Amino acid sequence: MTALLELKNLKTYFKRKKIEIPAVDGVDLVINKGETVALVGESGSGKSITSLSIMRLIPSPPGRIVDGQINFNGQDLAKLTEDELCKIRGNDISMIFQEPMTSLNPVLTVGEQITEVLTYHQGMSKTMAKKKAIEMLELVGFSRAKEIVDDYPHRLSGGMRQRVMIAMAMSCNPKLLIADEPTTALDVTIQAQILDLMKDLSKKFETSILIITHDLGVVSEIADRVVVMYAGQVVEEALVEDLFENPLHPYTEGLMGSVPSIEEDLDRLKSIEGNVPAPENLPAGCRFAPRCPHKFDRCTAEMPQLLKINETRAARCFLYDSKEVPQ
Amino acid sequence: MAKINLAENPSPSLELHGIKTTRDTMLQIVARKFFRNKLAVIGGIFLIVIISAALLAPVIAPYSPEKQKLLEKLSVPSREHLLGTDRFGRDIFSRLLYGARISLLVGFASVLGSITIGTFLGAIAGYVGGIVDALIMRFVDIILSIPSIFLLITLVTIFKPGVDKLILIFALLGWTTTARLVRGEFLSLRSREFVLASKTIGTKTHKIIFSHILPNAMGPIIVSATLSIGYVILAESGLSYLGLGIQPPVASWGNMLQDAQNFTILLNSWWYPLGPGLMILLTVVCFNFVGDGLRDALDPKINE
Repeated sequence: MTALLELKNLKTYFKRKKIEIPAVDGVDLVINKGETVALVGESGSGKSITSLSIMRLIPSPPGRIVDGQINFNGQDLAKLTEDELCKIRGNDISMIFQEPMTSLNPVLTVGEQITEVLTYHQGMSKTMAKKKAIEMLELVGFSRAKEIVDDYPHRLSGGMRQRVMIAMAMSCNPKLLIADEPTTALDVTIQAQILDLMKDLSKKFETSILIITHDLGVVSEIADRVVVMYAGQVVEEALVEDLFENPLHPYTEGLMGSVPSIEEDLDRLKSIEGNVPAPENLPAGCRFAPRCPHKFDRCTAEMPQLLKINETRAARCFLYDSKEVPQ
Repeated sequence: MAKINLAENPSPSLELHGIKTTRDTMLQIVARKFFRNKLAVIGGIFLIVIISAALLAPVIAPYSPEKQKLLEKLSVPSREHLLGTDRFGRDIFSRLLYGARISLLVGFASVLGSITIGTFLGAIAGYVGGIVDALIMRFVDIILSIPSIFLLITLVTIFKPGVDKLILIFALLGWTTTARLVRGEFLSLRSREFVLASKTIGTKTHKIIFSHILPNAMGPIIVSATLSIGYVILAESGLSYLGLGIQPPVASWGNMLQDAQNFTILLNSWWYPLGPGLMILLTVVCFNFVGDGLRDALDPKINE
């Protein structure tokens, strides 16, 4: 498999009151052609900032990509000018968001919003673009696409709006679709439909997907590979089956443990003790050490590297360091 | 994957029950919403009447607006002089018609100018932020810190008063409030998710400002514009009252009112101030009604 997107040591810092806050701190990530990768982590772990960094849409100031490469299809996106980026956004990489209720412009019709992408990137005429927009709407499951195309967003339900967003994102046949918690705001049945639709389209158009979520159910549903983030760093990387079968990093273990199971009957769900460290006040060693049940002296003294365990797996934990004597 | 059908199939039975399942065009929706607002419709009709009367003044006016008949000065409204005559024996009805041309021209043209400047600068200040915002807004502060009435008087005395100069001055002084309003709207709109979404499809900055965010700010802008037309008509009257507006013998509502501001006239010839005063009042009120109606009609978020 060839890599479509490769992040190398991506660092995105935010400046707040003269302190540099490392929201994303040295992330390496590979997405292959046609692959669906899930980026998992709790709020504040840097997953959304990672995705916005790929699009180069970090609000600046205060945010800034301080280091690293974003290699996409042979280009380093970190080095492109705004004009060059505009040609890539929406055409090669597109994005959908968590809140379908607010991510469509309320004063433009659905059709106007989809045709804009097409006229800009593909140089289509207005009538051609509208035809294509109707086609896209049909593709995402609207049976009355001809009428929906002239509707304003407020007439559509949340699930329908997310479909419109997907239609818009897919209309130029992008190589990569970034989905930032696309199903969080939707109810469970609609969630399943949207995930099915994304799976379907990615197969049809051979689009790679980077899905950002904190919902492990969504991960198991759609992803091929999982990347777990904690406090701005990647802590574990694995194929989806491997991760669910045998989580390596203690944080991942904790995440898996906190998912309610049908078989067990528990009064309280398990949770990971403590909180995510504030990004301006990170521990010196392993960032998870203060909450880790397996920690030992080295963990608080030294930052572990992302250790390659085999072809597809890596974990940022001293437990898997061969030099380390197992406890 | 089986095609997912949302609950969106039109059922033929709906049509049988007279419920429309087809969509109307934007214009139809706006028109329907506007016509539901009775005050706006009344205001609109009245404005159309005034505007067409002003345009057709030479046809409608029974007398020349500047023709003096000193023998008939300050005569009561009668069949010959529908609204009476002024202190030079000029027909008030004819003068009101011609005055409407001047007052409306000054109102429309200067508001068009000030809204354009204010929207443009306010949008840029609000969207770009930072140093650009600071520069534009400090400039606005400077203009606002000068008492406008004195500035107007000074400018009008330097440049000989005339319709074109009045329009220019009102346009160049009036944009500041619009700029502030539009900047505020943009500050809150620019962080909305749909703006980020339009960035992700590669939309250029100028297009985001003017075709994505601006339509969302149209409501307040339209209301502000209609209010400003009223304000400008009043300000023109104010300047005319000081003798710095439209110069006699040319009629404007403002200088007619000024001409009537005389104790004996006010006391004995009530019809003279009544004509221009009522016209200014009605026009300003109607513009406000129409502005309100337009704002509601143009906003797709306000349901029918």
